[in-house]
Amino acid sequence: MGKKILIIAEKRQGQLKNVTLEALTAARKIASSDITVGIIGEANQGMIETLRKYGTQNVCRFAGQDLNTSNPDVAFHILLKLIETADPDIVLFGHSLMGKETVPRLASRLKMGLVSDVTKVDVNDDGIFLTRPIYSGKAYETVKPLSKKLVVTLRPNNIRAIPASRPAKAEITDLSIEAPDMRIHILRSNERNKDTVDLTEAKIIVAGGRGVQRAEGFKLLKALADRLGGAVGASRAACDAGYCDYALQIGQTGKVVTPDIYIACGISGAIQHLAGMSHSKRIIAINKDPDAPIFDVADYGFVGDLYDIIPKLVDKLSKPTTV
Amino acid sequence: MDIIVLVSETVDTEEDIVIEDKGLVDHDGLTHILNPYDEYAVEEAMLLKESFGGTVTALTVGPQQSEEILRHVLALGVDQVVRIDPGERFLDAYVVATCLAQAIRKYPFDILLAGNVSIDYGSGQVGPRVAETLGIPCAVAAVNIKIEQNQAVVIRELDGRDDTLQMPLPCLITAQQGLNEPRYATLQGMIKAKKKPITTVSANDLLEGSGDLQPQITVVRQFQPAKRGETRIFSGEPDQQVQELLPLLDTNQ
Ligand SMILES: Cc1cc2nc3c(=O)[nH]c(=O)nc-3n(C[C@H](O)[C@H](O)[C@H](O)COP(=O)(O)OP(=O)(O)OC[C@H]3O[C@@H](n4cnc5c(N)ncnc54)[C@H](O)[C@@H]3O)c2cc1C
Ligand SMILES: Nc1ncnc2c1ncn2[C@@H]1O[C@H](COP(=O)(O)O)[C@@H](O)[C@H]1O
Repeated sequence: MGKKILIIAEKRQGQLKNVTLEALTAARKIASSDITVGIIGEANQGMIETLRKYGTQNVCRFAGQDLNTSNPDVAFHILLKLIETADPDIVLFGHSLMGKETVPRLASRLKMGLVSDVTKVDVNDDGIFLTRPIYSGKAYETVKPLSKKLVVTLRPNNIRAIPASRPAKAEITDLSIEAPDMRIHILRSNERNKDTVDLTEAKIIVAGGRGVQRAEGFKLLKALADRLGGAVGASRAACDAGYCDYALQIGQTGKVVTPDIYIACGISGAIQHLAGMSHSKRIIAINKDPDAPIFDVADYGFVGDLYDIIPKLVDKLSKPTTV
Repeated sequence: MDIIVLVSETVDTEEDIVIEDKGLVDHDGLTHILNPYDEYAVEEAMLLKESFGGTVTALTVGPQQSEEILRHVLALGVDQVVRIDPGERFLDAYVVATCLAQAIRKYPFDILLAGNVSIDYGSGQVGPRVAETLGIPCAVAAVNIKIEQNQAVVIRELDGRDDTLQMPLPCLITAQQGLNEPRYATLQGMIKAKKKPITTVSANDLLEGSGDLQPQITVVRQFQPAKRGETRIFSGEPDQQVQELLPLLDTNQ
């Protein structure tokens, strides 16, 4: 079909996030050639190598410029510059900070249709079809763009990242931008989730709710998550109770996650929590109350006290495994 | 200070969603509510009015049925409400935002408030799209708003970080949970609300002369997620449960 695609890369701790590779996989489905990746900030050799493997023809980066994209005005101007350079038919983002904050503005400015939080991309003779959850995950819808140009944000962990059959050139273009006219200024920044595993990309999540009863309990969950190479999440009630930081909150107002394994410990399963995790591939619930609604979505349920079960599990898994 | 708050109706969170034969969600008999994030937006509008004076106007784009949420926000103390009737138009975020921006041009304002996302089709596009269309700055997912010397100072909490942003008025801010504790409608408020008018304007009139407004997205079908298999419940001694749990923690299985 010969569509030009631009993917905005996301990084965490010096590595490309998985969602960027998932976007590349989706992009190859839409157009096997003409894929550009835009990288903001540092782009090391390892990243370029990975992009090559996943079929990136062109890389646009901003060399040596200190660009603080947590300022929405800065992010906006960088993205305009990238789009002007790559002139894409379709732009793909992860559904994260930039995808939620700046992308709708961008779509509006450029008169592009925007489909947010997409979990599946299909292509056939009739065009591109995008599937996304609606009603807090209680249903899905498949939509088709009518606009000539399209922006899509992808929910992490839903499209399986597969390297291209042949690596591409990943030819680098260095861009620079003038300091934009800014109306928004950042007075303070606070990055709260410094965990090594990004919650939205974790393959295994151990999540705690009010049933964890105390902040120390989250240390126990962390021990289990570490043994499994996963991340810790939480319900809103656990955050409200001060057992853990709001950065860990999963659900409608928190993060939406789709891990391979979700272990819900002392979480009742309120609809707002389910909205953030009900599409996890395997759900395991540990709860004292056999009637807790979490058991309705769980594949495996353990009725019991999490303090009886989790320490024993941690013990059994005492050697850290990477899965 | 004149405040405009954008409100939308949504299906009550607790409702079961059923897909009808044509492959779309069946809305018959579903309870509709004010989008929960809009409750925070309305509350913040009321708080700002209480501190600075002025008026609060609520706007919605939707069918006649959405007047219910307008009654509700009147009962909460909003001064005036406007429903933009979309006619037969399919409402994607672009169409909604265009209608809203067009209507807002007719009302003077210092601050625009909206919800962070709607919980039904939840895409979080409408707020920032309206801001961009009007050419004003925008902050999303606010958990704290302070107005000082014609500047808004906003703490926005998104993706495990919080940043404090400053921008000049007029601007648009979307509300995240935690911004405030929404008030309840009082009986008195509800009685008063019954007597207040609801202004209706048609999208056709609003858009006259600005060309045909076509949606950017069309829905092909809606469907239920694949049913999860039966839940296997284990119980018994903790030691035995742990033995059963161990093999389930392998992502390769
Ligand atoms: C607009 C809105 C947005 C919201 N957004 C979110 C959101 O994003 N995320 C979210 O999570 N919630 C959200 N909520 C809140 C949600 O409705 C629930 O209140 C919350 O999810 C409950 O958390 P919980 O399951 O941890 O607590 P509870 O409902 O109190 O459940 C605790 C559970 O722990 C079990 N338990 C107790 N002790 C033990 C033990 N020792 N061992 C094992 N089990 C035990 C109990 O049986 C119980 O089932 C939102 C609410 C609203 C109105
Ligand atoms: N039809 C509508 N009329 C007025 N405001 C709306 C409408 N749809 C969405 N909004 C506003 O935009 C916010 C985000 O909605 P959405 O972009 O649909 O996720 C909502 O919380 C409302 O404040």
